[in-house]
Parts: sequence; C-alpha cells; structure tokens
Amino acid sequence: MNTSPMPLLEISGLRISTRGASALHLVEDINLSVGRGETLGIVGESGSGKSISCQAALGILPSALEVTAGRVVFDDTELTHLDNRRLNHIRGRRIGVVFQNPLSSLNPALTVGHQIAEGLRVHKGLSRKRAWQRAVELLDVVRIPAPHLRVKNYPHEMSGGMAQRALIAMAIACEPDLLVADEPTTALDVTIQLQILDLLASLRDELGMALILVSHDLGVITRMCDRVAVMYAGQIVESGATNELFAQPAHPYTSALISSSAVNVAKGTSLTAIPGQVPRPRDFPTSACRFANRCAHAEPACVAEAPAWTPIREDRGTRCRRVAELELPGLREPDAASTAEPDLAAASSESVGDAALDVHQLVKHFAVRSSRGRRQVVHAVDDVNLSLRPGRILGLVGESGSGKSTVARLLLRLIDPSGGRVVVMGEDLARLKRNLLRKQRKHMQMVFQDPYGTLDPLMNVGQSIAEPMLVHFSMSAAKRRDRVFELLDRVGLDPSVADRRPAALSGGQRQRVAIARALALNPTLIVCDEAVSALDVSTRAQIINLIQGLKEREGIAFVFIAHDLATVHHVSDDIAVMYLGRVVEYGPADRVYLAPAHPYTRALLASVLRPGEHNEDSGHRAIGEIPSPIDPPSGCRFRTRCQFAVDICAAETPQPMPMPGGGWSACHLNTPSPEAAVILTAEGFS
Amino acid sequence: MTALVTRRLLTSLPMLFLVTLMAFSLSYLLPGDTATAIAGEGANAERVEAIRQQIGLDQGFVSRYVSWLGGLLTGDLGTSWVTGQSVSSELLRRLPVTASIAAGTLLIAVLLGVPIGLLQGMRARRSFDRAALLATAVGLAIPNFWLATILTGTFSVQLGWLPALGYTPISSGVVPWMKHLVLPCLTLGVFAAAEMARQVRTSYLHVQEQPYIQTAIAKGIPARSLVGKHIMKNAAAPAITVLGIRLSHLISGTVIVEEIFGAPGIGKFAIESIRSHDFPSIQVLILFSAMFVVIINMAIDVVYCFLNPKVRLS
Ligand code: SF4
Ligand code: SF4
Repeated sequence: MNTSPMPLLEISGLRISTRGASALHLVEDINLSVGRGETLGIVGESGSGKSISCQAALGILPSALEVTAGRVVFDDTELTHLDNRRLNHIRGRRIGVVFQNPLSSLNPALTVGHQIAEGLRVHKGLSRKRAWQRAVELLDVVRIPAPHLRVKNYPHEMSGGMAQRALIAMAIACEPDLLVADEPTTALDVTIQLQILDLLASLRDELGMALILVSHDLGVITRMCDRVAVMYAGQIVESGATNELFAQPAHPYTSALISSSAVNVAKGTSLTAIPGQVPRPRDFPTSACRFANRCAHAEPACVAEAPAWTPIREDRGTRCRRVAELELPGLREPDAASTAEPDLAAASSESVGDAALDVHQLVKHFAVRSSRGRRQVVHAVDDVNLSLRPGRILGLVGESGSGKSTVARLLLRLIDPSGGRVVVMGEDLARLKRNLLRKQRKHMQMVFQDPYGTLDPLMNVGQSIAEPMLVHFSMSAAKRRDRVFELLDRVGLDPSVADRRPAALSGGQRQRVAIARALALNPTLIVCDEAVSALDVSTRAQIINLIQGLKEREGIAFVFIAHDLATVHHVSDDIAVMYLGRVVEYGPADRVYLAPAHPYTRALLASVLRPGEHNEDSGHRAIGEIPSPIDPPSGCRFRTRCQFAVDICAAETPQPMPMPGGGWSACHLNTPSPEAAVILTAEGFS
Repeated sequence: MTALVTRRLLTSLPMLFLVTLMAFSLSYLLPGDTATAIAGEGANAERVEAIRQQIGLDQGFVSRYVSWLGGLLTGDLGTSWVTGQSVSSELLRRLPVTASIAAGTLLIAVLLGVPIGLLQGMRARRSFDRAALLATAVGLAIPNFWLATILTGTFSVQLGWLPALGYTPISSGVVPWMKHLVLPCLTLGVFAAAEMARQVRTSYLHVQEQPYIQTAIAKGIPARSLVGKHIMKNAAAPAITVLGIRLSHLISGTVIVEEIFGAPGIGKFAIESIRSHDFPSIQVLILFSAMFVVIINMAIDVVYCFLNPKVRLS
C-alpha cells in the first residue's frame, strides 16, 4: 500500500512471536507504510496486535516477544536488527511515542520538566539550563497553562489530560519525523479527548510529521486519519483510504465494527453485535479465515483455506475471499440516526405511575484534609432529583469528577447520603436501619465496570451466581443449580460456563456473568456503573442489547451510567447530565441528545466523534478541565468552562427551566437551542 | 520534612511510654519474691532485706516507677545491681562496639547486595542471575552461629589471618580494630547482603516492566541513565525499606554474634544482665532497643519520602 513514492516508515511481512520453544505468532504478515505529513490509523479490538506492531517498529517490544520475520524500514534504515545504541539515535530523536495511559507512562519519581529535558540533552546536546527552558516552551506549545510552574510538577500532581499533554510535549521535544500515538485518548474524558486530538493534529501539521494513530475508536480514526488499516486476530484484514473504507467496507469484520457502533444506529433498534469473541493467539486458525467463526458471510471454503491478501486497487486491499461477491453495509447516510425526529409524545418523562426509584434532593459531602491539615468539604453530589419507572432506562452522563459514580453508590446506599431521600419500592433507603436495608437491597443490584473486582477469582461462575441466593433465599441445592442455568441462559451464556473460573472468560462473558448474578435476586432496579466502558466495540454491543432486552422483556428498571453520550442516548429512555455534583439537564433521551439546551450538554455532544464524518466544529466547546469539587465555582458550576458565561452566572445558581420537548435545563441563558426551535415549529409549541 | 519527623516522633511517644511501663513491670514478673531472687540461693534473710531496701522494693510500684521515669528524663539511667556502676556509663562504653559491627554489616549488605541484585536484574534469567539466585538462597539459609564457626575455623584457626575473639577499640589502631570486626560483620552481613540482592533484583524487574520505563526507552536515552535514573530511583524505595527492617533486626543479631566472638558490645551486655538479673540494665536496654527501632523507622520514612515525591506531598 504505497502512496507517496518514498514512505517514511515501511513495515513489510512483520511477524512477532513469543520467545521460547513453542512460539506463538501474535501478529503475522503485517504490511504498513506511512509518508511524511500523512496520518495512518490502525484500528482493532484488544488482542488484535495493533499495539505490539507499533512497539516492534520502535524496538520496544516487551522482553518476552521478538520479531521473527519481516522488515521495518525507517528512512532507509532497517530497524528490526539494529542494536540499542543505534536505535537510540532514532528513538526519541526521529520517532516520538505517546502511550495510552498518561499517568503511568510518566516516571513518578522525576519531575515532568526533567523528563522532557532529558531527551533534549541526550539528542540535541543542550545544556541543562537550556533544555529546561526548552521544556517550559514545549509545555506552552502543548497548551499547558502556567508552564513555568508546571514544569516542576511530578506526574501525580497533574490531571490525566494535562499529563497526556506533557507526554506529547516529551514526544515532540526533538521534532521527530514520525509520531506514534497508541490509544492516546482512551483513558481521557470526551471533552479532553477532543482537545488532545486537536493538539495532535495541529502539531502534525506544524512540524510536518507523519502520524500513526492506534485506536479502537472509529470516530477518533475518522477525525484524524487519511488512511486506515483494520487489524483482527494478528492480521491486517483490510486497509485503504479512511472515507472509502468506512463507506464501502470490503471485509465483513470492518462492516460489522461499523454497524455495532452506537453512534451509527437508529435509537431503539438493537445494535448489530458480532457474535462470539476474538480468538486467543493459541487458537488462531492456521488454515482458515480467522474471522470465520464470527462472520455472517462464512461459507465452507472459508474454513478450508486461509484467505490471502487481495488487493482491490492500489492502496486498498482486504483479506476476505468473498470480496468480489459481497455487498457489505458501510456507514449510513451521514447522520441518518440523528435526523430521525424525536417522538415527543412517547418520550414524555413526567408521566405518572409507581416509580421504581425516586431520588429527592440527594446530597453527599465528604470531609477531607488538605496537605496542610485544613478541613475541607468535597461537594460530591448536590441537590440531585431523579425518578425512574419500571421497565425504563435512565442514562446518567458526565465527565469523571461529575459525581455520577457517587450517585450510583448512594442509590444502593453503599455509602450514606448527607441529605435527601432515595425511595425504592416505596421505602426510603436513606432512613432504613441496617437490618431492613439488607432486605431492601435485594431489589437493587449493581454492575460495575470491572467485573473482575466483583467476581471472586477462586469461585467458579456457578458459585458466584448462586452466592446471593444463598444469602437471601432458602432453596435446595438442586433448585439453585437449575436457577443458575436459567440465569446463564437469560444472559445468553452456555450452561457449561457455570463450571469455569472468571479468569477463563473474556471481558464480555465476565460482564454477562456479573449481570446474571445481579439478576439472581429478581431485582426491580439495576445500576450499571460504566458497565460497558471497558469492553471492545463488538462486545459492548452485545451487552447493550442484553440490557435492552432485559428491560423490555422483564420490566427491570436500569440506571445506566457512562461517560459516552452516544451510547447512553442509544440505550436510555431518559438522560440526566451531571456536572460537578449537579444535574444540569434532564429529559427524554432524544430531546437531550438531539436538542440539547444546556451549554455543557452541547459541549459533550460536540465531542462525540462519529465514524465516517469529519465533524465540522460546532463551536460548542468546554474550555479547560473540570475544576475540583472542593470549593466548586459559585453560582453555575459550569461557568469556569462555559463560553457563554455572563455576570449572573457567578452570582446565582441557575434553576431548572422546563424545556419544550420535555425535561428541563438549568442555565441562566435558557434559550432553546436552534435544533429545539425546529422541533418547536414542527410540533406546534409556542 | 520536619513536619513528618515531628509527627512521627509525637506518635511514637505513647508507644515508648508503654515500653517503659512494660520494661519496668518486668522485675515484678519474676517468680517469687524479687529480692530473694536477686540475692540468689542461700542468702540469709538480712541480706535479702538489705537488697529490698537498697533497690526500694519496699516502696510502692507507682512511686518507684515515677522516680525511675524521672531519672530517665534527667539522664540518670539508674545503677546496676550487680556492678554498682551507673548503667549509662556501661551503655556508652559498649555502644561503639555494637555500632561498629552494625555499620560493618550494613556496609557489606549495601556494597555486596546492591551490585549483585542490580546485575541480576539487568541480566535476568541468564547464568549470572541463576548463580546469584542460588548463592543468595544459601546465604539466607545458613544459620549465623554455624557460619561464624566456619568463618573462624577457616580464617582464624587454619589461615590465622584474623583474630577469632575479642575486640580492640579504634583508638588503639585502625587496622586491629578492623581485623576484629571482619568476622562478626561477615557473619551478619552475608544474610543481609543476600536479602538485599534479592530485594534489589525483584524491584528492578518490577520497575522495568512499568509503562514509564517503556516511555523512557522510546525516548532513546542511553542505558546508563535509564538504569541510573529511571529504574534505580523507583527501585530504591523498597530496597531501603528492607535495609531498614534488617537494621532494626540487627540488635538481636548482634546479641548472638557478640556472644560468639566475645565482643563486649550491647548484645553481650544484654546477655550478662539477664543472666545476673540486673534489672536496671535490662530495663534500659529494652528501652534503648525500642528507641532504636523508632529512629530507624523514622529514618526510613524520611529517605522513602525523599525518593517518592507522592509521599512527600501528602
Ligand atoms: S473469508 Fe469468509 S469467513 Fe472470512 S471474512 Fe470473508 S466471508 Fe467471512
Ligand atoms: S448558567 Fe451561565 S455559565 Fe452556566 S451554563 Fe448557563 S450560560 Fe454557562
């Protein structure tokens, strides 16, 4: 896939294997190239081999792995067999790297300035003083405020977003020709993600760098990349120009990835999930298509012989034998999902009926001590009102630090509220005595982001699911076993899973087990705290469909907490948007998503990256980062980041104002958004 | 930093107070009558009574304890029942011996343990590492009295290079002083060095796997500063903790070694005092060990917080 006459980096026939006698090939036959000023995206789920391919190119593979075939040529130099001394002339000087988790990628024992200056002194021979000055300048280049102070910070004194900027400053310090960014925004909030991507793009253009961007997120790839390679189970299955590849995918996996993304699918319909899981390296089939067990288009020939790389035209190819005959769905017409008119009649959230959950003026303040021993109050949750009827899903969105997880824990009274009421099934939990609380708890269950934390690694799945029944019900062992099978069936797992340990399951399967366990006590309410955030795109779709099914078939009410507005919109009936401990906007999902009224909701929405769409800037941005919940800003808490803030915003707390289309928004401006205006005329409101 | 030290000192005060109480109550825990026990078998009643008066047993526990505490605070550590000399002068006389042995042991642990552990970490799972793993396992397993026997057997008896017994103060010559120290220090140092090497190797390998080391490698900085700055600074903290723990265990180590090598240090003092039921000395020695441990722990904290900026702030 050569584009420019002379690619800067060219990887050909790369194979990476584990060291040792029975070597496993983790990736095979990787061919990639990137030219100056160009951006190449590599997409894939975890385990696809996208990160180690990049690490191999830089000679920073973990010690247990080695390159066993192929070449990596960077500007006429073969890198795979270069010794460390010569590699060090290239690493950091001509190729910079940005890793996924900014806080653990910075050395905790050294100041940020030291870490930036270090590369400059080694590669550019700058004096200690000069390198330090340059570090300050670089922090300014990556738009860190007060760089001369920040330069003396240790990594833990920075927020995630700021640490990522520092890491980028470090990577570009020597003005490299190539920047490799491995999931650079995955660990960050969406508003910060957008800021970081913009920064990367502008640095790429200013410095004329080539950029390789590794990501699992199609939206990120679309926004940034000219060309893209899709990896699956250690191989590249498709590559080509980004727009074309997303519009007309030539491999069933690419096509399935696109349709399993929540942003791309009409609300209320179920997501196209890819069944099953990515095979583990030891199970990679050698003489079959690696996607065959999950492919909707597989035919006998697919498992008889591994499909060869098929060029479609220059710079575009696929690894599917049926490419000529298949007509695969790509992205829908731009925004087909969001142009659908919100059904306002059905969406009214104020309708009466017995609430499964009623939250009244919920408050949670923590006392902490500052470094100087002063008592301070964290305003984690302030005056939150929510209500939820059976068989509905309430989505709760916000950045980290917005208080949404604290709300989740308050709902189940895992922590005690400082004030307010949480009424579940007519009982006020906040006032219940401990022993009664235990009884009431069986009506409410929680599913966490990391099911590892909730499943005992020493128990098998069957025991884990049966455990809550042991505590709350008296039933015979045989009955319990039947019930476990029934629960496994309800979450779409095979009964044989009951005998396995959590470690033997994939992330998606573990999350299903966690849900089965939650269902064991016939709850009326399940709180999902970032339950799908850690899952790969295709698995995420499976779990979302499962949750929607449970809601529809069994009338269970869900509180669905996530930071990703698109996913929340897809699953929820109503959405509450939280910012710094307060709900700032609330209403029917479609109204909030399609006609957001609060500036913060709009900023969140503007940071949703849709695959296949080079989001033009809507002008709605959240400036900077979320402030500390200790001494939150007076008046409107969003005012420090709001581009519309006026005097009154600092003086008075905005009160909820009903919005046309349902729900409310708490902003002093309180003008319905232009989109809302359209709805107004259409629906005949005045 | 000063805040940390003050806080540590303040929080250890109640602990030290408890130690004084326990140490002081010891003399009441002896079976039978204390004065009779001290006087020994066959002493007549007058002698027992004289002792009772002399050490103030006829006064109540509280008043004795208070006056003992008061003495401690004013620097009067009491008088030995056996020698009749002040405990403090005895302690001061013996302190240099034990301090020399402890310092020598630490020196061996650091000078031997750290480089071995580092080399092991850098060449993990290769032949040097394997050999060193075996050697350190042996070093950790050998009981020190046995090691002492072998060392004296070889270096004193057979080769005649080093004295097998005794101690000469540094004032009577540096070389004889050192010669007397080599064997006791080695006896304790082998274990300490083996332990150190293990810890350094483990933390080296742990740190090496951290994402920030990958970042540093990707930055293309030479191996020398990679190991020296990025790895060592992070690997040092656990190693220093281990060193501190070893140091606070050293007190019991010196008891054995001083006895074997006949070095008149604090350990030997402790044994002698216990044998002769010399309670004033025993009490002070207990208190002394407790304070030693407190100070060591504080020193560890200070170093730790110097190495780990995260702790430094909070
Ligand atoms: S080769 Fe067959 S199984 Fe593989 S992707 Fe193509 S159609 Fe599916
Ligand atoms: S109240 Fe003011 S600061 Fe708050 S969101 Fe509205 S305009 Fe912005």
